[in-house]
Parts: sequence; C-alpha cells; structure tokens
Amino acid sequence: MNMHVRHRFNPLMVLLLGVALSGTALAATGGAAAPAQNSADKTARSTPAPNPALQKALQVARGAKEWHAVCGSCHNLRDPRELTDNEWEVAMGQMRVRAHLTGLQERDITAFLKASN
Amino acid sequence: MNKRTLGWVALMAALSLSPLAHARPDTTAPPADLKQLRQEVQMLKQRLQVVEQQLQQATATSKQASVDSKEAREEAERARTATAAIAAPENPDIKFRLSGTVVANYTATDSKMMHDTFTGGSFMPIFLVRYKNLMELEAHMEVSNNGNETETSLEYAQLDLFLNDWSTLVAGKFLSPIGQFQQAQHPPWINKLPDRPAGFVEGGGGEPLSTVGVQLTGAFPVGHATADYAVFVGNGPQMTDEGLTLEGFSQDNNANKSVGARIGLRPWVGVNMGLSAMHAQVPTNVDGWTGAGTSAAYDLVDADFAWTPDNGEIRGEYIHSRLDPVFFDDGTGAAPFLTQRSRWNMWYLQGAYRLGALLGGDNPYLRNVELIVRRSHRQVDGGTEDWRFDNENRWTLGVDYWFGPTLVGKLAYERKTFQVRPDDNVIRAQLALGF
Repeated sequence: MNMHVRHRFNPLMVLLLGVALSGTALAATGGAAAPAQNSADKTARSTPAPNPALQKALQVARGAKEWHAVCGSCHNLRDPRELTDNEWEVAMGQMRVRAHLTGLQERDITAFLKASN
Repeated sequence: MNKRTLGWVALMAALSLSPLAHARPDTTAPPADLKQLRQEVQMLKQRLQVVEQQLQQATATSKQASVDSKEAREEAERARTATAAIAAPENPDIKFRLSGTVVANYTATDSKMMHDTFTGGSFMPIFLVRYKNLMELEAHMEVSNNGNETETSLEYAQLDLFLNDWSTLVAGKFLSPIGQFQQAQHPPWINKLPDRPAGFVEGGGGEPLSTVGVQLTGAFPVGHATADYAVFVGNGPQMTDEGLTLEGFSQDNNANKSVGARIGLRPWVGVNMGLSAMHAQVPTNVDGWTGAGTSAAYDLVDADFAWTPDNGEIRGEYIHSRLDPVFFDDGTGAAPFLTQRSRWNMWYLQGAYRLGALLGGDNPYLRNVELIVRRSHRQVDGGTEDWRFDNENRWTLGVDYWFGPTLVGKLAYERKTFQVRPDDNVIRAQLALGF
C-alpha cells in the first residue's frame, strides 16, 4: 500500500468538486445567486413587456450584437440563410457549450438568425 | 258595326293582302335551284353534326381535365403534407443537424525523414441532435486515410444537459476545456493555418485533447462583461507507445480520476482570456510504464487570450505541465530505467489580418485574402529522448483565400528549428470546407 492509494481524493480534486457542487446548487436554485445581470439581461427582465413586437425587436437587436461579438471572435460569420430555423436552433445549442454562452445569449442570437433567415 | 263600315274594312284588307300574294314562293321555279338548295341544306346538316360531335368531344375532354386537375391538386397536397411532416415538422421535439469539415492537404519538405506528399482527404462529420430545449447530443467522427487503410475514430461524443441559463452538465467523451485552441480553434475551417502549433498536436503532444467523464460548464454576466467556467472529472491521461497521451480513454485503469477547470472572462467586445489547471495520477503498470510509486502525478496550468478586432486577430496560449519520474521496462529484458521529472513548456502567438481591409476592401479578390503569422514553441525537459526529439521553435507564415465564410484555401511556409535533429523547411497547402 502506498500513499497515493491512501489519498485517492487530493485537495485539488476536493476543491474542484466543491466548485462543481456549487454550480449544481446554482442550477437547482435557478441561478438565484448569480451576480448582477449584464445590460442585456437587465433589459430583458426589467423592461415591461406590454408590446410583444417591441420585445421581439429588442431581442433580435441584442442577438445581432452578440452574434457579431461572440461568434465572430472565433470564426467567420456565416450567412444566416445558410441554415434553416431548426438547424440554427441545433447549431446554437452546440455553440452554447463550445463558446460559453448564457442561455439568454443563445436565445437572442437564435432569434436574430431566424429573423435574418 | 254597320254594313257600310264592314264594306270599308273588307276593301282595306283586300288591298293590304295583295303584296303578300306576290311574295309567295314561286312554285314555278326551276327544279335545278331547288336541288341546289336541298344539297346546301344537306351539307349544312352534315356540318352541324360534325360540330355537334366536336362539341361533345370537347365537353368530355374538359370534364376529364377537370377530374385530372382535381386529382393532381389532391396528390400535390398529399405530397406537400408528407414532405412537410418529414422535412419540417411543426414544433418538433427532436431536431437534427449534420455539420463537419472536409480537408485535403499537400506537404512539401526538405526533411530527410519524409517525402513530399498529398494527404488523403479527411471527412469529419458532426452529428447534432437536440431534444426540446433540454438536451443536445454531439458526436464527432473522423474518417481518414492512413496508408492503404481507412481509419475511423471518435473525437468526441457528449450529452449536454441544459440545467439553466448559466449551467450545462456535459457527460461522455468531450473536448478538453483546458485552454482555447482545442476547444474553439482546432477545426480546419477555423484554424487559419494548415497545421496546429508546435506541441499542440495529437499523439504525444502536451495539450489535453479530450476527456471521458463529466463536466459542469456555463457562463454568467458580470456587469457588462461575461464570465465562463468549466469544471470536469474524467478518466485522465495514460501512458502509450507515444508517451504521455492526454486523450479521453473509455476505460480507466486506476482508481484516481483527473480533475481540471478553466475560468474565462470576456471583459470587452473582442477580448477573451482564461486560466486553466488540471491534475491527474497517471496509471501504473501499463505497457511497460511504471510510476515511481504506483502512479505518477501530472499537473498542468494554462493561460490563453484572444483579441479579435474587425479584420484581424491576435491570440495565444501558454501551457506548462510536469510529470513525476516514471520507471520504464519494455519487457524485452533490457535494463529498465527511470525518467527524470518531465516538464513541458509550450506556447504559440498568432496574428492575422485581412488584406482587403488594408487596401480599402474594394477589390473583390483582395478582400478575401488573409495574412497570418504564427510563432510556436515546444520544449520538453527530462523524460526520454523520444519526448525531447520534437523540441522545436517554429515560424509559420501563411496566406489564406476565403472563397466563402467556411471555405478556405491555405498556403503556408514553416521554418522548424529543432534541438536534436536537423532543421526543416516545410510548405503546406490545404483546402478546407466547414458545413
């Protein structure tokens, strides 16, 4: 028997698992402990929604901005007409993980791509 | 009426009927005219019959055409409905997309270790399936030629469970979240040069490529910025014939799991930076490799950044890692030996600029040209001679022509300066399509 077998869970692993559990707890509470929202999030949450068309237009505008800033930081921007609406939904699900997007950013960019399709 | 009046009426009637008497048919007309009239009447009857027949045929044809048209409309409607059900179902729970990359390469070199060669095309499809807004499946295969044989490999296959707007649980074989190159830059239609930076390679490289395990990842807003994170636990690296192999193995051969994390920040538009760390215990008694104890500790730190203004970019990444001493016994009876502690230091710095932006962007051809320069470095200290064999400094100059956002032709020159073997000059060409 050696020391590595006795210490199967090293301190770094315990620390990282703690971070993971914190994230899971955050998920379970729906993100109630999240830091202050950014401007897009504030716009989406604090603005009254009496006009769906206006809300949709604001979402598309946010999506266009995020599309240029986030998608364009890794690769060339593709023509929104290259994919169908359904394909964009699937592609953006992949990019949510790959490009580290929030759920709101994913929905905004998807709305922009659909509106431009 | 008296007799006198009756007489006047009779007289007037007689006078008025006298012209009619002159208009009566002349019963004394010649028989030839009568015969001609009868022939004309007969001919007209015959023509009338022909017209009636044609009318009947036209009516029947019109009715048939109407029936055919109705059936055609019904058939078209059925086809449209069936096609819509297959191609674009209304609000489907499951949505599918096939994406990926196709590449073809050519390499010319003055190295005595290899010849100029075309490299068979590689086809790397990615299957994506989304279930509602809850989960996404990603599976990435690579089909390529190796000599006369076709090789198929699974780069990653992962399930992404969207927990909320800030967290996603990833399970399966996933790309390593360490750093930025492997996560976001390695697909050939995104990587602006035909090859990867020195050391950031598959097979004996120092960059973690993939992991089999679970990962919690996501992003959240911080003021006007966005922060992102990834924490993972996996089977970890193993020793293979190529040395320390930082890929996802489907089965672990020790009880220790690798752990790692990355935290990133996008403070401004076009700026992205991150710090990563990883720890693992490399399995023992595998293919002749034996840890100094029962395992060898492996630790890694990584820093990455990218600045991507319009028409250009500067990005880079640095990796430092170390592995505790390891015994090696190849089983042939040769004396086993103990490696020194091994240290990897690798980095790359890359800049790119769209030539069209410099020249005004009016020329339809020049605006699709991009110039790239990359400096990369791989240094292994300790370990074995094989591990140090590829230590190099590399300059790469490249020019890309973008036929479209995801179709690029690349041409690059590399100057490779090695520590323990002759230097090398390489010209690479590549055509890559992302779809």
